[in-house]
Amino acid sequence: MGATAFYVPERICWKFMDETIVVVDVATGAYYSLNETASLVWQAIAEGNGTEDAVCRILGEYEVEAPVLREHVSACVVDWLKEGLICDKGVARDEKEKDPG
Amino acid sequence: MPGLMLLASNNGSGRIAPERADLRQDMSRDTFASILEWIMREPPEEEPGICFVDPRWDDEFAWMAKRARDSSIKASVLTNTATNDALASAEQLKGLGVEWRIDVTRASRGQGFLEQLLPVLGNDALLVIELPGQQIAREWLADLICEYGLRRKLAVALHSPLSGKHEHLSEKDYSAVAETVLELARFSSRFDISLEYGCGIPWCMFTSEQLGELWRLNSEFFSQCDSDLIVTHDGQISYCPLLCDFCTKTYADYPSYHKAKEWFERHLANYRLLGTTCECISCDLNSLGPCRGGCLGQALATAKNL
Repeated sequence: MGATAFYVPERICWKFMDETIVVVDVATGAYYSLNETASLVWQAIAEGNGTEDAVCRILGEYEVEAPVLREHVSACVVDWLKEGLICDKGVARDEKEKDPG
Repeated sequence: MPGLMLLASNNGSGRIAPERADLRQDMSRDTFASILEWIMREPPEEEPGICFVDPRWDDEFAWMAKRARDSSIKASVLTNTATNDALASAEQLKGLGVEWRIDVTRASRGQGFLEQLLPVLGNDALLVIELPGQQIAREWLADLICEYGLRRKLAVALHSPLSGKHEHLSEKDYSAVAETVLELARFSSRFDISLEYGCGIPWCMFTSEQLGELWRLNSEFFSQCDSDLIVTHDGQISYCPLLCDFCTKTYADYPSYHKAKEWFERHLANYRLLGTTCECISCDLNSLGPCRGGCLGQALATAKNL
């Protein structure tokens, strides 16, 4: 998961509210309020730095074991992928290549 | 009064979106006439209107204002420019709604032009003040309204999106400004003057007790972010001066003003969830509609991935 590249699709906008991030799917009106650590993960993905960047930052700020943290970050990313809040760049590229149009 | 705010024609002062000189060119008479026809194609239930923002007081303005009135469209003016030209145009301004942004710090009667102009306008004139400001010359404002028979209202702009700049009232200043508003409402009520409010402020700026007192003082507060659409010299329309860079269309893209307004409302609705305060996103008043989450331009100013 750490090496996978993600991006935030156009219909998603987000902003900082103090230390945390709120995310809105403007196509559906669904919104998400992220906690502080999830906000760090989101920021890393949105800035194109990948989840490992977030893992390093969280390890620097919180007392947590790296394997446990990576597991949580992966679960978080899977949830966001399911919700369509982020997309896998590789999958998006594959689908584009398949698209005859 | 649903309608358009005309940013373009005769926009003399450059007060609106000062960094966007491209927005402030003169509109041709043909374009203006087409836009009036567009507004009336599907007239809103309320009286349709067109607001001239900071017009130059010249023949072109007079022609446009008359043309609007001849088309059964209420013409109004939003300005802060009291000049010889304005004085000369005073007779033409009669019958228009004139919202005058006034310098609240002027306690003296030094604004000679204004004090010659306001008696002519009388009940057509509404004074607009901007908060937060410095010490409010409230006695002077009450004098102007009472002496010259102006509308017994004082419009309070709680931040100034017309400036076209992202200069917003900060959440940390809400309580102090709310108290200032309340004091002004208490004072004004002694003269049978009530307050009305500009857009961009969420309900939570006031406590429940303050909202109740404003209601009792006949200065009830509503949270709004519902601009008339604005139109530029070349017929570009947008929801608000602060959203010109975010989403602009051409009036001809829509069959009528009504349809354009509907499109903007629908398009922007989900962005409103972002709100201007930390609580907006989970606040029922925002998601259900009574509060519009403060100023959308402010909410989007710091949003990403737009």
